[in-house]
Amino acid sequence: MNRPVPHPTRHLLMIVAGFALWALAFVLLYGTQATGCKAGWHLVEMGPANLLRLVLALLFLLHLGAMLALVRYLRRQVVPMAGPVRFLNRVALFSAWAAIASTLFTFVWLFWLSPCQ
Amino acid sequence: MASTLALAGCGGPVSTLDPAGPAADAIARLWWVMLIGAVALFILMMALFGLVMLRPGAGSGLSRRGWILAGGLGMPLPILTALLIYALIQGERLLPHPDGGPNGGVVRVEAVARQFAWEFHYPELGAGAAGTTLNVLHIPAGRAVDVTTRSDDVIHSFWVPRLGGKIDATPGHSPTIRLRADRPGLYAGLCAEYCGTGHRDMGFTVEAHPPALYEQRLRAALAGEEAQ
Amino acid sequence: MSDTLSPIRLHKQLDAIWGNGKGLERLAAVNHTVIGRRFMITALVFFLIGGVLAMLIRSQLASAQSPFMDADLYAQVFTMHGTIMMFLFAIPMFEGFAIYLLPKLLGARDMAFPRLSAYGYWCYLFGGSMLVVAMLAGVAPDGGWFMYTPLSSRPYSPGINADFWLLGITFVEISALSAAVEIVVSILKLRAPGMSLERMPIFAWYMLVVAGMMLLGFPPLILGSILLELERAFDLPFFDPTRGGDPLLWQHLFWLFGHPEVYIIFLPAAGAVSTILPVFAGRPLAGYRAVVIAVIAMAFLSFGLWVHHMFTVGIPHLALGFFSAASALVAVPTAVQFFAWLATLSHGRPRFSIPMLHIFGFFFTFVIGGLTGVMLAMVPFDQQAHDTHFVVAHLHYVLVGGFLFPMLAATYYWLPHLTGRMAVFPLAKPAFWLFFIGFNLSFLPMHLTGLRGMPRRVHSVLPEWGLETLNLISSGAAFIMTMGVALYLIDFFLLARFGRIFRRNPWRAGTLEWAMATPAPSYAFASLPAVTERADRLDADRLGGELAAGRGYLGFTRHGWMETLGVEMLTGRPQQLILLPRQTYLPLWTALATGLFFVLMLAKLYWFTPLALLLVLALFMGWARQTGLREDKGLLPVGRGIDLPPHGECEAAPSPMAMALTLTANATLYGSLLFGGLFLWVSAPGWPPPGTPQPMMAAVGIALLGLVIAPLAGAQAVTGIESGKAGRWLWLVAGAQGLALVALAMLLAQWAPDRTGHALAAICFIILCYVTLHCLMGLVFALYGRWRIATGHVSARRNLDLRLGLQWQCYTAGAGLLGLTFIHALPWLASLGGMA
Ligand code: HEM
Ligand SMILES: [Cu+2]
Ligand SMILES: [Cu+2]
Repeated sequence: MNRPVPHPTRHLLMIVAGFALWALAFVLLYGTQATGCKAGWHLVEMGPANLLRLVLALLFLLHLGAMLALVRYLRRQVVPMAGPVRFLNRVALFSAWAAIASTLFTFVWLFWLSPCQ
Repeated sequence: MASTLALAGCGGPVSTLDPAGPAADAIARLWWVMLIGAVALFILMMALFGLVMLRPGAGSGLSRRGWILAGGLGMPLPILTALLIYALIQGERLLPHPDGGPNGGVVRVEAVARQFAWEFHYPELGAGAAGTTLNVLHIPAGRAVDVTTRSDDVIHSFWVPRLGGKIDATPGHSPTIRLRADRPGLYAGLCAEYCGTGHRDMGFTVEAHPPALYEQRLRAALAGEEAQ
Repeated sequence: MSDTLSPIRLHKQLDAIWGNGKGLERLAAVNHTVIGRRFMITALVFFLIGGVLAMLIRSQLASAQSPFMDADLYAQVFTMHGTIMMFLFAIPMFEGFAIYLLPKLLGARDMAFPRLSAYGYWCYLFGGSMLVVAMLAGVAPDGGWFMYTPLSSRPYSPGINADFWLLGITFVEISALSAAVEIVVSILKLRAPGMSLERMPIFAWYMLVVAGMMLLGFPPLILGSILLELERAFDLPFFDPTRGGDPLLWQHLFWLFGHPEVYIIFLPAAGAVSTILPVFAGRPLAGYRAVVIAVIAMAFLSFGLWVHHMFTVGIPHLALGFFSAASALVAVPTAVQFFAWLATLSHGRPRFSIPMLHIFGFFFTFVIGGLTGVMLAMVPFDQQAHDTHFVVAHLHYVLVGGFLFPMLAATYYWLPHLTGRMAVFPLAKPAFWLFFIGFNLSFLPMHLTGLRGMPRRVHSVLPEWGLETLNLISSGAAFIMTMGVALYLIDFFLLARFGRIFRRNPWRAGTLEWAMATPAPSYAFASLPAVTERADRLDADRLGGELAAGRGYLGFTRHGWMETLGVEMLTGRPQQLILLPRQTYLPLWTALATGLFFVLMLAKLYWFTPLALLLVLALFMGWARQTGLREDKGLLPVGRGIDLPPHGECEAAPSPMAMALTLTANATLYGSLLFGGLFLWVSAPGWPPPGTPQPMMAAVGIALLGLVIAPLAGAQAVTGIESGKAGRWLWLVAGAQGLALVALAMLLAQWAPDRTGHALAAICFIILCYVTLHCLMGLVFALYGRWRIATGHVSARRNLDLRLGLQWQCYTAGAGLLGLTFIHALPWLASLGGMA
């Protein structure tokens, strides 16, 4: 039970990885929205949407993808049946799911709300 | 309705609960909906707390995980989602969209704040009437009015509680809010952002005129200011 | 070491080492029990000051006829009330609480950096006193606790008032940051053997997350304060819209701190609830893992909702939607915690007690505050309620409900631990009911006051608003609440003075702090326990006896060292013997020197400030002189048949982690600065500026060269200790930093003339200053390493001093690269067409 853990810091940091991605998405989406409005991307029609919305949607999907990849990685991680590494892995996994739910809840509105008003 | 009852204690010259225009009205409705929901949730939480404290074992039928999942995720998520969608729809409606709204075009005015007074400009009024009014904003009743704020000193905030939400007057920025007074009358306005020692006294009045008389009265008011 | 001592003799020997002096020697104390207590008592005093101010506010607002303060004085009073309550009461209170409690919960004899705790305390005391002095002198800050510019800028606040806020609060924040670093390191490294992460008491998880939030949350505020002070003192126009600045930058920086701040205040209190409630439920906390996840989620979400304080500035609805959603979402992890508590109670045998009564107060009040919080998260509603007394009511429901009531529960729970006595007089109940009823009577109607149109921060009630009755009720009830506070104070005094002495563990708790004598001895544990299960289910009574008898780890003394154990951070496997520093006056002197810097800034004697900084630096060097060993010790016995190296010879020593955390906070500050530049580019009027200096490629190249060589040479120094080449490599590090400094000085000279003309130049100038400062410190670290080699403190195994320097130089290289890129990229971005 007292075997050394190979990457203690990595196991620990994984518990915030999901939400760190959420935070990154937040910064990028908010920054892009502000910059896009300033640059007039919302005035560039692109089919049913405009350039700004398209860029935002792309960023959104990218982050969702990254989070799903994280979930996959955490599920595949080989961890002992008990002990701190297992605990951290579970916390990391559920946090990642929570972060995915949070991403949906926080950002889906970008498909709908007025981008620059 | 419950709200008419409650209104007895909710009136007042600057009360958001005594709305006189569609924006304030929608927000007041949002408030009553939220209040009812909040009271229900509060009672529920207190009842649960009372139950587990006073009737030991009464809640043990539900597993501990069940408590956390049902109460922590199952209950709040749908409520929050519904509320958020409601509020965002409302928020979209209140925005100053370019397409005017009922009764023709939007009236545009400028509210320029300074320590400690409001100056109102009427850029749409044709030539020869480029004046301003001090601490009185003239608007037509029944028409949407877009108020654009400005400030050259500190931050103030333009607020007419009976007509709708507030909008800051930040130096370097000029945001817009859309308001409408349903009926002619006088509506009190306040400065809502702390701006110095005169903050309390930075009140103003919105005078909503019958649409037919608006231009005439506004010109008279401008002439009056000029004369002073 | 095998001969066991009698408990009494062991106590005497340990106390001789750990005990604090008498008389003036008390000023040298660094012990966590003492420092924690000082923090809490000082915070209590500030609470009372803030409370008196609150009563002044309520008296003023009692009726339209009652005003006795003019608008200016009222502004000082509400500003100081808010500032004191947030910065000088709530944060220091939980810091003290954590410093006092954490080592005891985790089974360690002290925090990882006791001198840092002491330094933090003095910074807090002096910074707070500065503000109080300003208030007594009638020049208190008066721009509200969030100090919006331009009102707080020089043209509109020419006096010294705002400087007191900016400098005083920054001074106090030093203590918050040092506490945060120390808390993280202590939790991760200084635990009882066997206490793996999933066995930690839940409070430690809460504090770990809170400390992490502090590291990321405070730097934006510190940066904002620095920028605003620079604008006030040296006219650098970061917030001036006529010169490319933007008042909104301040709002973003402030609230990027300000919102996480309220969760930083709430979470420790929630951690206390999660610790106390299971004890009275007679059942361990339900959903330990769910609570950990909820706390992490809450921490992150709380960083994504600061704009809900800015719903009325005119930000596009799409962005408001993000912040509105995140603000609503934060209710979910809150609910998870509430239902974990309810689940614990429902599966236990709850018993009522005074702490539980206060937890009831917390439930009742905080639920209301949370519900109104969700309301305010809704954009349209906030646009009505914002900046009214509805918000005042909401924030007090959250703060009083989410902090005061839980802390009162904690007080009644742990006061016996602090004093060794149990209450005998039944004053707590009437005090609670007076406070509870007074609070609700005062603040519940205030929601209506706000909705009926009363703006906050108005210096009196105007009769025409029709709000006099409501305000009278609020004011009257506030006096009932005050009586409650008075009764509490009497009760605490009576308990401490005349309480009944008890033996051990009065609440039948299962956590380690009860496995010691009360009041706690200076060394906390006579020997350290081996933990084999979750550390809230321990048999504290049995353990207490065993530990006192020296049957745990380190149940002896040697060389007069102050020893505790360091563990591998995940598994809790014992890893190193941590030697803690002795009592010393240095933290006090260093804090005084730091204070000197702030006083010189206040007095506008800017030319003398570098001297104060040099003094601070020299004193910190003095700290190093007291630490470290001059020879390799190898493995030392720590009891129970285990041998460990002293921390100076351990790869995983605490200080590199502390350095990494400090650099993380530092990077957050820097990142906020860079984002500030980008923000101005997007948002501020008056961009682009008419012209910017031409890139000076030669200087940039030389600076980069120096910046990059330093860490490379520094790494060679660390590996070269064995062969005796470290000294020479360190000279190269110093030379490289010096080279970079020369080049940076040229760049600074180039940007300096424009710095007051436009925010772009000001930002670039400050970025260069930042990099320069870091190079200078890199140079100091190199020379410091050289000095430590000379004094024999460095060996191939004792290489911490060089590793810390290396960490710094690596960071400096990264920051420099980024900064030099940025000052060329920003003018380029600004010059792009079509962005107006
Ligand atoms: C104990 C009784 C308390 C009373 C009667 C009280 C009363 C008030 C009142 C009436 C205001 C509004 C002032 C105005 O807008 O003109 C206010 C503001 C405030 N209070 Fe309290 N308060 C109390 C405790 C606390 C506590 C415990 C905290 C925090 C831990 C706190 C934090 C604040 C803050 C941050 C403000 C905003 C200040 C500002 O607008 O700049 N208060 N308080
Ligand atoms: Cu104003
Ligand atoms: Cu907030």
